[in-house]
Amino acid sequence: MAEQGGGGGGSQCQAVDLSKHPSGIVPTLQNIVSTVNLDCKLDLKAIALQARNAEYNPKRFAALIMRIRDPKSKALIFASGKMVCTGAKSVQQSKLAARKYARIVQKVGFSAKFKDFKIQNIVGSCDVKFPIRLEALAYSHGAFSSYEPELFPGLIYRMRQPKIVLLIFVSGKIVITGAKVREEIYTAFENIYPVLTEFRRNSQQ
Amino acid sequence: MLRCEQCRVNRKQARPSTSINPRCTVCSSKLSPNPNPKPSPSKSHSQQHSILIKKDFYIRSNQASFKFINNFALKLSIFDAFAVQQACKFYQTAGERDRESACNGISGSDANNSDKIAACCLYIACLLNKIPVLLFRFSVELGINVYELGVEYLRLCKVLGFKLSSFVQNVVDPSLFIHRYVSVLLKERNLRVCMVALQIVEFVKGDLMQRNVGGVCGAAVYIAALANGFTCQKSDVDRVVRVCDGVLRGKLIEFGKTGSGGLTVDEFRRIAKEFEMDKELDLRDSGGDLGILCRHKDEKVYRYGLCNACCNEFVELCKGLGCGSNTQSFDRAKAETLIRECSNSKFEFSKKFSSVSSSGSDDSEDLSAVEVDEYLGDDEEAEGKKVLWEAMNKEYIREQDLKRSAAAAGETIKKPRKKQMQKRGTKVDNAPAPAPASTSAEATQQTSNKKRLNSLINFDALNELFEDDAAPNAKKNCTESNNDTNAWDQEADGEEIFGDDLDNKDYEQAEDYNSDCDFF
Repeated sequence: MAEQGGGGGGSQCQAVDLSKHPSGIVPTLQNIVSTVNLDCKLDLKAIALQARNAEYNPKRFAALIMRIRDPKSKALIFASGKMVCTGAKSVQQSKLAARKYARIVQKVGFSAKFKDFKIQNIVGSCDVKFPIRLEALAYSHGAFSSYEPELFPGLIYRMRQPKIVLLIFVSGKIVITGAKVREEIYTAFENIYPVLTEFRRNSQQ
Repeated sequence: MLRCEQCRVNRKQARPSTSINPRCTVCSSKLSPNPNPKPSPSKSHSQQHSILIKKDFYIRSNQASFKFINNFALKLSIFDAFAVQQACKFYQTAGERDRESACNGISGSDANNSDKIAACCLYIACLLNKIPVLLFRFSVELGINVYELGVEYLRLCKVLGFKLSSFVQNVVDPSLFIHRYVSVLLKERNLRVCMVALQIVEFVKGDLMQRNVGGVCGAAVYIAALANGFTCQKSDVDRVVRVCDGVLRGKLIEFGKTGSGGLTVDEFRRIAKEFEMDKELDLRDSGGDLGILCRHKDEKVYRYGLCNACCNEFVELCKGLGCGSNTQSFDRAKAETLIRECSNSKFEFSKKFSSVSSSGSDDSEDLSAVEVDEYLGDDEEAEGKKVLWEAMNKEYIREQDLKRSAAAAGETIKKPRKKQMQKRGTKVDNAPAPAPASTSAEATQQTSNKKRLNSLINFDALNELFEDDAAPNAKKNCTESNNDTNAWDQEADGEEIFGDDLDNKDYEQAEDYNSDCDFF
């Protein structure tokens, strides 16, 4: 029951569990956005002065922007005590990064807690390795697709169940976003994969 | 000196004291008691002979094993005669069953393991009678690996038909698991840690047996690992033993509270003293992969992860605070805890160790506190940054000051709502609701404010108009404005609205013109 191949795009180092991913491709997670409530009012100026990795430009944006190297991520910290953490590549890393930010705030001198950690968005991507006829797909799945090549080169497919948005490109690369849990990404991809194979662009004459 | 028939040589006994059936060390066949070689008998005679010998052997072995079980029970201070009797009965049954299965061709255990079988029978009997004893004790006494004993035990359970019995279902004996946990946690099979852990479990077995096995095992493994110089995190132990952090912590607290808690520390000290003489541990003392904790990063790690000077101070502090154990990881962990407490209570000492990890809660032990410190600068940096920041954000600071002073004065400053004005369809009105106007002049003012016609109105003319208006208000002037149709609403009020582009001259003409005609 080996899980999790190396990703849809790159070469897979481990076997893919075909019962869980019948397509044989596993989307890789690219970005996790999460929020947490530190549950105390913060003086952003004090934090910006103490912390080396923080920037605070109140004229431009009301929040403090902090970055850490490991896990490589960025956080927006607001004076109300709420924090948004982005850039992590997995759910655990996002939680760890959020904890690190909370720790830094704690060390500056505020009684930060770690309340209501919630994953708000998960973004994944993969490659089906064959070109796709977007026009035909948009015509066939008109209710869900939105394809404006002049506006954006990819087809925006809004799946209803699970409620996920997929960006499908001609090259066969897929971006999946809008998930709250990892499994939604996988389900969405498995749902769309047969559709993509149906609209595969066979080798041109 | 006994004789092995297979090898046809005289052999010494392998385990003189505990074994019932001495075995040849080379071929593992039974050693016969007489050192003289047996004449090889004829075939038919040999068969008969062997049957007789077998039967004899079993009877003999049964009796021998009963004696063995008795002795064993005494050694383990199991005084329950009933349990011993039960064990003997089990042994008999097991022997018979084994023989049956051997006849049927199923390879059960051969007579090799009669020691093991006897021990396991005794163990089962103890379990049935709720006598707290660990398999580990048996293995120590017999000198057999506890895993093998475990295998034998499970097999016996099957043979004796205990498969569905409650005590088999809930396998609560930690000794079966400790080795595995230790090897997974430390990535190596460290016998010392296993022994210490098993000893801990034994010490507390009276209080905590029959309850959460995982917690007990986890706590024991954790303490054992620490006591032997392996820094492992509670979270690792949680992961390996599959308990949650709270359970582990609870168990550790219980350990400390029980009487055996005090005992174990001494025990550890004793063991640790033995270990300190061991060279292996000295090597581990020199820091190895443990980073230096105190601020003097250039110095070599002396003890407890601190350099020489800091170490001495730390030891003094320890003495002062009345704590003291001299095992490596214990002290390191203790050092970190102390420093945590120090910095929390703003102890002077903390300044020395300011760069040492000071995690607040147990939850975040897995965060590298040293790394977090990298992100924070010292006071000088902060002051420099302050100057820079204030220079860059002068306007913002000014705005904030104004806001504050205005708030103090009680006025409300209207934020420039540029963006909102640009939004389609939303016309936000900042002004408070005006009091109803008493005179038409005021009404004009209010309406013009409300409808933002201030830029389109010639206020001088308006005022003049209202001055004249004190006189008969028959003078109603039509509008001559090229404004929007809102202007027509003003007719009812008898107002005059003029375009901005009209200069006075035109106005006069217009007035003349207006006074002549009478539209309304």
